[in-house]
Amino acid sequence: MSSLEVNLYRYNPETDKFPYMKTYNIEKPSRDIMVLDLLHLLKEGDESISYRRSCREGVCGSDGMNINGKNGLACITPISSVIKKNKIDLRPLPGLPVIRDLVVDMSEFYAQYEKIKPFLQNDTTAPEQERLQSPADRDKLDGLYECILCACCSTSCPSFWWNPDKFVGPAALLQAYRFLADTRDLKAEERLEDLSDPFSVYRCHGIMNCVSVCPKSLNPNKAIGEIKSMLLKNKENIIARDGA
Amino acid sequence: MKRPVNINLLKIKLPLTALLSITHRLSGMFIFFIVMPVSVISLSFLLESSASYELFKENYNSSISLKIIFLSLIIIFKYHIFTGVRHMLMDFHLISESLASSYRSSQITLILFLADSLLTAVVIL
Ligand code: HEM
Ligand code: SF4
Ligand code: SF4
Ligand code: FES
Repeated sequence: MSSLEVNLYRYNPETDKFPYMKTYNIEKPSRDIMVLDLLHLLKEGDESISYRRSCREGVCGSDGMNINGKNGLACITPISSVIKKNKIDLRPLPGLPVIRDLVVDMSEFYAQYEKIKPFLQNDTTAPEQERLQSPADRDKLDGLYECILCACCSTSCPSFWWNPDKFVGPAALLQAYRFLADTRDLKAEERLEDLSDPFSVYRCHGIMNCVSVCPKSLNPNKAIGEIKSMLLKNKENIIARDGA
Repeated sequence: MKRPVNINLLKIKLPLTALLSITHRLSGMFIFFIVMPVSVISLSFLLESSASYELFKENYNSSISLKIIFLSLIIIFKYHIFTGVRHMLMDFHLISESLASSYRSSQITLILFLADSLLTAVVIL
């Protein structure tokens, strides 16, 4: 029976001055389990371990964490896909303040989401039933609306680490584009204006960490590229209309 | 309350694309602080007089370490250009922004850069 070494990031603000890594040796499960199941096993032995989880099937986005150096959802990451030399390192999402163990303070992440006004804006009188869209227009939202706001992408992004207050970050920018691409939303120009400063969008340098970690296989970098092109087009339109 | 933040760069995996991005920035700063000043100083020395020109040439031709220094400056500048062109191709959506093609374009950029470096080294040394 081989054993498995799990290195867990531990921090309890009431007793620890600094976070530290604690090693747990457990019997290697006989079948492949998810990282989240592994955490449950550890917690049976040490109840003080803290982490978030809810749906345990990859839809709620609450158990994003750094698994052997790569962000992902613990509940849908099989240990077989991450074990290296019989070891697994588990750390909280990088860049956000740690509340306790694997639990991080997501306020900065949500603040960026709030900033992009993640709701449909349309001042025209609503029709009797609903605002219709052609199937082709609806298709434009595929790959955008599926985001579960797990923050794996933004917290893997170096630009977000250094400027979490000024750079909107891949997750919220994906949502910004989700509304820019929605034919029912009429505030594209205002939305673009809000994003036109040097930080909100332009801190993205195409590092691609976001795309490489997204558990939903979404592509924030592509959305950001589309926003950059829209920003350019919008400037051209404004200049053509009002003069330089 | 002051909370700790987990940013241990040695423990966070970065894909090739990220390494290209960070080295692009480092090369850009290196060009600004080292390559440009050295080039300007060398050029002003070369242009000062025909005697200084000959002196520079003499020293340069007889010193392998001087050649290696200039070679590395040129290679770093070229690295910035290679990765910069890739960056601009992505900006113009000429390379699709999927992870796979971004990865492949990183590899191609590196291979072209290495081939070019080799050629440059052969020409200069
Ligand atoms: C004297 C010459 C040059 C200097 C001093 C220089 C310096 C820099 C610096 C400091 C950066 C900032 C890096 C960053 O913020 O990530 C940068 C970015 C950039 N450079 Fe250069 N550079 C030079 C020439 C070039 C050339 C010839 C190209 C042509 C391909 C180029 C393409 C780029 C691109 C595309 C970026 C943007 C990268 C990004 O947004 O991440 N540069 N450069
Ligand atoms: S884009 Fe992907 S990684 Fe980012 S928050 Fe949404 S689901 Fe998570
Ligand atoms: S592509 Fe942009 S948003 Fe994604 S990780 Fe890189 S800098 Fe961040
Ligand atoms: S517990 Fe809901 S996404 Fe993992």
